Amino acid sequence: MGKSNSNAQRLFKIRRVKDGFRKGVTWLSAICALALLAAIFFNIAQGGASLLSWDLLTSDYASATYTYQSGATSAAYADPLLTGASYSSSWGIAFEDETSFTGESVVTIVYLAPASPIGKLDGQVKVGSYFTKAFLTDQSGTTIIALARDGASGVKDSFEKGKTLSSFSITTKGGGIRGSLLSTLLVIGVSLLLSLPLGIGAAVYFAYFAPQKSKIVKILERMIDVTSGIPSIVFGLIGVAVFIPLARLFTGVNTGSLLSGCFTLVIILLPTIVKTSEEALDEVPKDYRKASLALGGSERQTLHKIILPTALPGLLSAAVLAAGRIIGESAALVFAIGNVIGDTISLSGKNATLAVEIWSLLAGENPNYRLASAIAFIILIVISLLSLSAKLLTRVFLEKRGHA
Amino acid sequence: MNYVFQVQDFSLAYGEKEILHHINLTIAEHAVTAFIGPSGCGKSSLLRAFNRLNDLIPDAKESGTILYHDHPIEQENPLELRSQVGMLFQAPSPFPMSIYDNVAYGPRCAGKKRSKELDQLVQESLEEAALWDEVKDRLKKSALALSGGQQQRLCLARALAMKPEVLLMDEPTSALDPLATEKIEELVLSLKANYTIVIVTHNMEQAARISDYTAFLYLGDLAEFDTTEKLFKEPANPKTEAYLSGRFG
Repeated sequence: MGKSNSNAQRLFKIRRVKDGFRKGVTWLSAICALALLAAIFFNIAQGGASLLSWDLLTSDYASATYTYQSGATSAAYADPLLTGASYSSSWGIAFEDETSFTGESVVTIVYLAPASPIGKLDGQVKVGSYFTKAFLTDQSGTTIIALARDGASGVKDSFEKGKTLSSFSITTKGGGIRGSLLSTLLVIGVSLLLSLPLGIGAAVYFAYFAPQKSKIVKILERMIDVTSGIPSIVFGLIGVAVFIPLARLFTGVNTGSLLSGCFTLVIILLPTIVKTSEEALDEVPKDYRKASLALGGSERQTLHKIILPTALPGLLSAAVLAAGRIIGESAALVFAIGNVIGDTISLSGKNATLAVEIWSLLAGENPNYRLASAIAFIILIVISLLSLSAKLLTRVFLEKRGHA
Repeated sequence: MNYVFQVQDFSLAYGEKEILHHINLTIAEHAVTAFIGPSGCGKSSLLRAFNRLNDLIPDAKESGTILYHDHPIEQENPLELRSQVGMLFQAPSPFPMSIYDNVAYGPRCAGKKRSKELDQLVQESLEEAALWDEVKDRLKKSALALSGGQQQRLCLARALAMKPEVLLMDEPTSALDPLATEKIEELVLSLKANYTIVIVTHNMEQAARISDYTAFLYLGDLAEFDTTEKLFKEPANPKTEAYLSGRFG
């Protein structure tokens, strides 16, 4: 009795050690995974945080230089007492040294006195524009040239010396991502609009109406599985070969366009949408269909009133998954749309999406990591917003159906 | 005596396998007919033939006929037939929507839209299924929050809202506790006055308690069909006697 008891204790000890080891491994891998995710997030946030601003989201990528002729003379304007800025009280304008979104050092106009003659030149001359150059003349009639490369204080000094302003040039703030952001949203909208009905329709067919034992159906399903594993660059090729000519029928444009990009994305997304929707539909209890038909409902009524609404949360997550894929897709779109960063938002235009813009920014000779990180951060935010809105939609829908 | 259904030489096969062989029986109006028998004897398949739910099984093949008021049911429109012949399933299967919407589902599918009419229909049906008092204050709440017994009575109300002539019940109490079972049995007895009821049950006592006629099916054959009283007291077939006395099952 005593011997077997000690044996049991020994076994118990061994088991405890083994269990402890297993637990340790589980914890370790969980912590590693979390730490990795946190590190990625932190890295992106840190790299791009300094650029993140409403301005970045709403301003154009392209910058333009405007030159205005003037004959204004200096006067005296009250100092707004800005810290860090160089203020010229005789012209009522303050400058500051900054780094632009595209990484160049610039002199930004940070203040314009309400009565300043410079502010009245044109709407483009405003707080936030970059100062380029100005020609002034001093009391003796000598020409003074103020240049952005003199820095904010140098420019201010030149202005203080000048009595008459003959010309003034500014450059609009470039490097904004309004164009890419809106193009991305447009591509998401159009691609989902085209692919969701197709994909969900196919899923409904496979889940409910396809003859289950048919060889052709099985081959089709297998083909869908295979398609979801094809690298997207291959679809980029198809985009160039098939969808650019196809999109030309609608846009009349010979090169890649947002529309040809959307067509390409539809093909990329379809397998995923069909599979996830089929899973969502499979989760609807089979009893619902039987019960609905037994109540005299038709197959169509059953589908629209019971099955699709019940599967809605799953279908929405399929949509969010697809939207995430669209935002992240770059390889195929470099070919199907192009990598021109611009500000036109049109289906026939060829504006890069956010992910392609990152690719474009890093592929050049002077990779712009800061702007790329900022865009990456914005992509993360857009994806979070999308999945959040899907959750909210689901909740609103469930509440409407009486579920608390 | 009026017969709602007349089953004539009816056979049913799933693929190669024949489940029911040459069944002949009748379902009497305003009476409860019970189908009993061991698992796999084909009693549920026979029940599903009455509202053509076997149509959903791709390789089901039927022969012989079932007459519904002297019309062969294979010539009826299945949607109309099913609105005349309601069904209650083994597991309560309320739809994931509100109690009201569950009951109103069938009538809405049939094209009833006016809310006043529906309100009244929902109330009547729930009252008939003895559920009205328990749910009248939460009609707009989810049906999934109800207890198992309440859910089954909701499914009954849902079927009653179609104003059917016949109610098919496929082991309606096998997933319920004894109290909920008793409630359903009471309902069956009271509904018999207005409806013709066919019930499949595993529970022989239940068949004895609530049915007027009993059919004993064994391995796809109709072993015996008679009034419940006679079948339970003096079974003609030795198989019936053996089953009833618990020697197999």
